[in-house]
Amino acid sequence: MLAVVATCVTMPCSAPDFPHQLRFLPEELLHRVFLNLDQASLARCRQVCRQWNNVASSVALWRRVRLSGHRLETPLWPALLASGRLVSLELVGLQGWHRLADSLSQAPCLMRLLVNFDDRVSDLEFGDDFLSRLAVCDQLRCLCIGGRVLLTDTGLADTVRQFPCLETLFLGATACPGWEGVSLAGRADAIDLRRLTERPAEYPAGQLTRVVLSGLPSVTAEGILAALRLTAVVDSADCADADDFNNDFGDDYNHQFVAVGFDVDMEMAPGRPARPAPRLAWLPLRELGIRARHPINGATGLAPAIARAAPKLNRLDLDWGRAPSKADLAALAEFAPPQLASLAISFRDLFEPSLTSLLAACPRLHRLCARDLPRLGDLSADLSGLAMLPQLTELCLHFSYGAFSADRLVTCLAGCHRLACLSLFAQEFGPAGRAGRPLDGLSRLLPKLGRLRQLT
Amino acid sequence: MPGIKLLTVDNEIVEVDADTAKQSLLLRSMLHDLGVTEIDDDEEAISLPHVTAAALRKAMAWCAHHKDDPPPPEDDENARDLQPQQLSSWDAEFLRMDQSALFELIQAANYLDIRGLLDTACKAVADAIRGRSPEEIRKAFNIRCDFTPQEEEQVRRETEWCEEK
Repeated sequence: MLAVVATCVTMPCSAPDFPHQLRFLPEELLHRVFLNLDQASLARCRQVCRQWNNVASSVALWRRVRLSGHRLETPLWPALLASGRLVSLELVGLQGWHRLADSLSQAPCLMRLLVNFDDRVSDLEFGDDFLSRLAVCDQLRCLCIGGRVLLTDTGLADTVRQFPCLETLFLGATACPGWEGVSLAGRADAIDLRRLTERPAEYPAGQLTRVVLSGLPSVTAEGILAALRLTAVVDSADCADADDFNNDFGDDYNHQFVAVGFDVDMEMAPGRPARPAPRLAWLPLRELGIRARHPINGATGLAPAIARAAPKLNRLDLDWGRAPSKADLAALAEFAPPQLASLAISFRDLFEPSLTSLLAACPRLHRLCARDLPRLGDLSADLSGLAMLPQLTELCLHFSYGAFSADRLVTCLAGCHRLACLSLFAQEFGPAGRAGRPLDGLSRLLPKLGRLRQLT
Repeated sequence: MPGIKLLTVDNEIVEVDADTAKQSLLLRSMLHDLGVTEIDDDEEAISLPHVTAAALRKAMAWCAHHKDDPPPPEDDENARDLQPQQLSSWDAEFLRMDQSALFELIQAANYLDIRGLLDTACKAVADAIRGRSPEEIRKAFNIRCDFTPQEEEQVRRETEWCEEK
C-alpha cells in the first residue's frame, strides 16, 4: 500500500499525460470514498473497471439496501447479510415475513427497516408475532411497515418497549415516499387509542417522537390529542388523503413528518375544564401536521390544544378543512409556540387573510408556506409583516386563483435578505395582457436576494 | 504561536502553526515524542515523506478553519451512515480543485491522520461519482475499462437488482 502512495506522490500527479488518475488512490482510500455511496451508485462503480469492481464488491460497503421481496430467496440475501453490518433495509413487494424474520439476527446493527408487503397477497396478516420476532434488532430507530396491521394494543406497547431507540414507528403505510401501490385494508381497528392513553404509565415515553397509524376507521379528536401525549402522530386519514397530503405539502418531510387527519368534527366541548396536562412537559413532539378531511368546527380550541399538547413544537402545518376564520388565526397567533421555525397554513381562498399578528407571534420563523391564497393584491399589505422576519430562508406562496403581481411581492420581500428558497405557484402571472412584466419585477428582486438558490 | 517546520516530499520547507498542526494525529504524536514546545531557527525540519507542499498547505488551511470543531464522533458511525451528511458550503468551496490535487490532499490527510479532512474530501469525490453512469465515471476520472465483454455482462447482471424499483 505504502509503495502505491509513494509512487503517486513522488511522480508529479498533475503531469498532463497521467493516465489513470483515480487508480492512484490506494484501494483503502477508494473504499473510504465508496462508503458514502448508495447502492445504485455502488452498482455503477462496480461496472467501471476491475479494480473498482473488487473494491465496491466489499460487503462492508453494502449497508443501506433496498430490495425486492423475492430477492430474499436468492443467494444475494445471505451475501448482503454476511458483513453483519446492514444499517438500513428497505423491502418492497414482500410476499411473506418468515424468511425475513428468520434472518434478522444476522443484522444486529439494523437501524432502519421499511417493509412494504405485496398487496396482491390477499391473505397475509402480521402483527404481534412478527413484531416480537423483530426484537433482535434492538438498535432500530425507524420502523415502517406497510400492509395490514393486526395488533392488539398491548402488542403496540410491547413494540414500543422492545425497541429502546425507536424514533419513528409507522404501521400501515400510506405515506412513505417512494412506496407505490400500498393499499390498506384498515384492519388496525384492533388498536384502541383511548385505552392506550388511559394507561400511559405502561407506555414509556422513551425516545419515541413519531408514530403514524394509518387506516384507522375513526378516531375521536380527543383520542388523538390524548395519544399525542406519548406518540407524536396519528394519521387516521385514508390512503388517498395521505397521498394528497404529501403531494400538497411537499415531499421534503419524508417519514419525519407527522400528519394528523381528523375524521370527525373537532369540537372542544364548551364548559369542559381544560384537560390537565401534568405529563406534557416531557412531550417530545416537535413536528405536527393537521389536515382535516372535514371542516373542523369550533376550532378556536385547536390552537390552545396544540400548544398544551406540544409545547416544544417547532414545525406546524395546518389545514382546518375550511377557510380559517379571523378568530382561528388570532387564536393561533396567541398560542403559537414562540420557537416555531416552520409554519404552513392552508387558507382555502380566505379572502382577506390576516397574517400580521401571526407573523409577529413567530419571531423565529425560518420557513413559511401559505397555500390556497387568493390573489396577492389583497394580501400585500399583510405580507409586509415579512419585513419582521429577516431570518426567513424559505418562502412558498401558492395562489389558487387570480392573477399574481410580482411588483407587490418585491415590496414585501425587500427585507428578507437570507431567503434561499422561494416558490411561487399561480394560475397566471401578472395582469392579463401584460405577460412578461411581472417576471421583470422578479428579475429586479433577484439581485437583492443574494442567497437565493432555488426559485420555482 | 510557535511554528514548526515541515520538510515535504518535494523538498520544500513549510512552516506551520503548531496548534493547527496538532489536528494531525501523526504530527501531534511526533511533536509529543520529540518533546517539541518551541522551535528555534536552527531546529531541523520534520520530514514528511508522503506529502507535497501544496497538499500540506491545503490541509493546514482546512485545519485552521475547523480548529474549533468538535472531534468527529467515534462511536456512532452507524447513525452517520443512516443519514449521510452533506458537505458544508465552505468545505465544498474549499475542495473545488482539480482531481489530482484532490487525490493528493486525500492521501496527505490519510498519511497525516486528519480524519475530518479525510472524510470530507472522500465525500467530495463520492459526490462526483454519484448519479453518473459507468461510462461517465470512466470519462470523468480517466479510467480505462479493462473488463472483457463477458465480465462486464456478468457484473451488470449481478448488480441489476440495485436499480429495480
